[in-house]
Amino acid sequence: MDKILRIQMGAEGGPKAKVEPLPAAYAGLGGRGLTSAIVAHEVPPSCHPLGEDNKLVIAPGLLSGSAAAMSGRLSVGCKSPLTGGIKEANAGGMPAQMLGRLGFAAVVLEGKPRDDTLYRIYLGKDKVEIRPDNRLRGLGNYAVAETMKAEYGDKVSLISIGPAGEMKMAAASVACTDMEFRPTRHAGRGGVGAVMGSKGVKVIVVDDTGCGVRRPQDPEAFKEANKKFVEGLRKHAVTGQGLPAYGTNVLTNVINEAGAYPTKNFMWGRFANCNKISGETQAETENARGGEGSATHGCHRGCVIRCSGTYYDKDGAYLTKQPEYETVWAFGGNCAIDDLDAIATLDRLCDDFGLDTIETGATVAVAMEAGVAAFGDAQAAIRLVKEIGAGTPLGRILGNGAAVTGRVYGVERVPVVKGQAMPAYDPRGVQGIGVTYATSTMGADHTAGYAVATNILGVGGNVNPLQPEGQVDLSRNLQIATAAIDATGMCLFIAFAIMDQPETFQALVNLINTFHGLKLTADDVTALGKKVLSLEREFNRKAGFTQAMDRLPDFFRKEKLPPHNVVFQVKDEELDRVFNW
Amino acid sequence: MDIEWAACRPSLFFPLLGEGIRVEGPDGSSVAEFLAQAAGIDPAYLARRVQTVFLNGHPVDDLARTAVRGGDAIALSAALPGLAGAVLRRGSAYAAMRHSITWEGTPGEKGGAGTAAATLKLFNLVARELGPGLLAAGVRVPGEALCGFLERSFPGGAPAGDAVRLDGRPSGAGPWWRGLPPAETHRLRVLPAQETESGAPGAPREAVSPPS
Repeated sequence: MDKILRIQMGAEGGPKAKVEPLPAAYAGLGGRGLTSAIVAHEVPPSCHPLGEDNKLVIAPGLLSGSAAAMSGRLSVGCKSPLTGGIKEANAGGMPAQMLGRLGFAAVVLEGKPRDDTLYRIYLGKDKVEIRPDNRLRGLGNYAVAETMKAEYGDKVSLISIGPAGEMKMAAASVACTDMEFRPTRHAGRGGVGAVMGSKGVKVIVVDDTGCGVRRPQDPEAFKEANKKFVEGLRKHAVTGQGLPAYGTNVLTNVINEAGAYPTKNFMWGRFANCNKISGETQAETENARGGEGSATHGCHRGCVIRCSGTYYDKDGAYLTKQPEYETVWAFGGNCAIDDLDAIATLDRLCDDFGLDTIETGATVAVAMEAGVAAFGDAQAAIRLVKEIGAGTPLGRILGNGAAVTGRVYGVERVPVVKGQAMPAYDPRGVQGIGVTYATSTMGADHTAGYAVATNILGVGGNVNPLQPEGQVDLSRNLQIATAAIDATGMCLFIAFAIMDQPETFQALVNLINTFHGLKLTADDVTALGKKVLSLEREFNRKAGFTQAMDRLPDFFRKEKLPPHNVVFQVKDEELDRVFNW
Repeated sequence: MDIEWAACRPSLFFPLLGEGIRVEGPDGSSVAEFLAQAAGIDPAYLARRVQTVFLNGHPVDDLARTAVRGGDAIALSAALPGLAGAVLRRGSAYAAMRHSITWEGTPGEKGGAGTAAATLKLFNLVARELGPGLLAAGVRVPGEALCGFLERSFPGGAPAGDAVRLDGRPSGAGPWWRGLPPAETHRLRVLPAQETESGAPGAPREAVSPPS
């Protein structure tokens, strides 16, 4: 992975590809580290996100394409049409591993086509092919996959957009195919799909035929480190048992019990019917309909956690992949919908149209609050999402997210930060997450402060867990640790095992060091996280972001959240301390 | 009503444990003591496996110094993913992030003065591990919750192969639970259906003990 592929979509005579060596300034970076570095250095912060000066950067992780477990995340970065700031969204699926084997540290889409031609790009061993393909116009991601399968078979992988991306909607995602060649894994947040649409690229076919697995510098030590890393993941209660059994939706019952489950567009902290859509119920439903084991599945080869699954309809036919916690919440409790089959249908529609499920669910809830549909009306929610896919005037509004929809309908309770909808944790219940929502460079994003391994990583000092003022320090440390792990391109879920098992963290460090011949230390990890965050903050500042944008919407300080009747209490001056280091 | 259910898939009843069963234990005792007395939950299992505990929706950090009173609701979960999962854990290094909802009640006492009735909810792996034993021994469930659960889990009646007895008599086919008084608490016993040589359901097998 020592080269970058740049494709100038606006070149004279049609798109032109150029392969160049990885510049020294980007060496040692993968995933979010690399996407943010390229965007920060090469994209004018004041540019229009859908204009020719923005770039879409697609980067696998440092270990993608190797035999390292959990190394299959793919980062997609750009200036966001949703937030107006820097953006990185990532996804599982197969493309990261294949891009790694092709030797690409990043694929960068630049410029803008001179007309409305839609392109497909093929990346194979020593081959880059860019062809107009207007047959693909308007197709959903599933139909794109079928079309490409007929031509290339199902041993390749795809990075594609649906109609939402073509229509340049701010909630549009970028889809990646999974092990079954289904477009179920999405870089969802921030409208990265709209930027791919603005580049006129419908699909990138990644074909690693003829490429071997990437070789480590020290094969024996790497093999040993990988073995210990896998053992650590398998023996931990979360990565070895809880996630494989129930997936991320295991959180529904517990967040609801804590009174921090945003219900009916963040009106309440509990959803009375949450048991109908919990991870436990979902897993039992999947296993009963599809056979034992249906609730346990990986999203890419080399995944040992297997937090996904397969959701079947009442007749036992495939409907969608196992909807994740945030998806089940966004269309479930947040819209007061308690029908798992309807939620799975909404997940399928979002995957097909190429939509971020968090943003879309939050938008439907705002629309429900506006009276466009009734809370709890699952069929109405399905109709609204179909409006987005069809690009009707209402669909165009909804497809541009919760903030736009709230403004159009005059709704006051719009749960967004920097224009991006909040995920499934009410910041009044878990206030430290509110600190991260408010201050993240990405807009409201639960994964921005997700790497719960700050103690092992040695990020920050000891924070007294019983002192409320500690949450600003904790949020800072978590954001640094997350930026560092994101820069490796590893699945963030490894953090749960790392948190409790120092030997698993050591195995991860050994994996990276033995693969690349490095001598990374915990201090290096902290420095890397700070470097990435500093680049992102500086980009946002130049794009016009101020401290006033590091805030939660006003209603979180005014409206008490039942059942605990709490408001968000962290002061503005404390929020402004988060990035003091 | 005493309901005895020989089920081909007892695991289908685990989500019911997440809605809450009624238990009784010493009033004012600590969470750990109350759970040992009321549900036979081994304190060692509690300490090792149950990473997240709620009392009336508040995360609890110290099980020994938190009292259970009549009408309380206790919820138990294994370790969870996500930042929120880590934050809500007992004694979490990230506990400051949820200080606004952390339990700050009274400490428990050794051996309460009377008996307290409480609601116990079991989630995820805890339900999977303790569920077989508790269901085999019999759990007390509010009628409304039980009827709602059965209605959505088995809309046409008990699954083929299951056998149900109500106060010792066969239930008959169809959704018989629609006749249960919703305001009463019922005792539900779920045992794995014992397959006969022909594969037909028969008498329940022996109860499965919860792990120690």
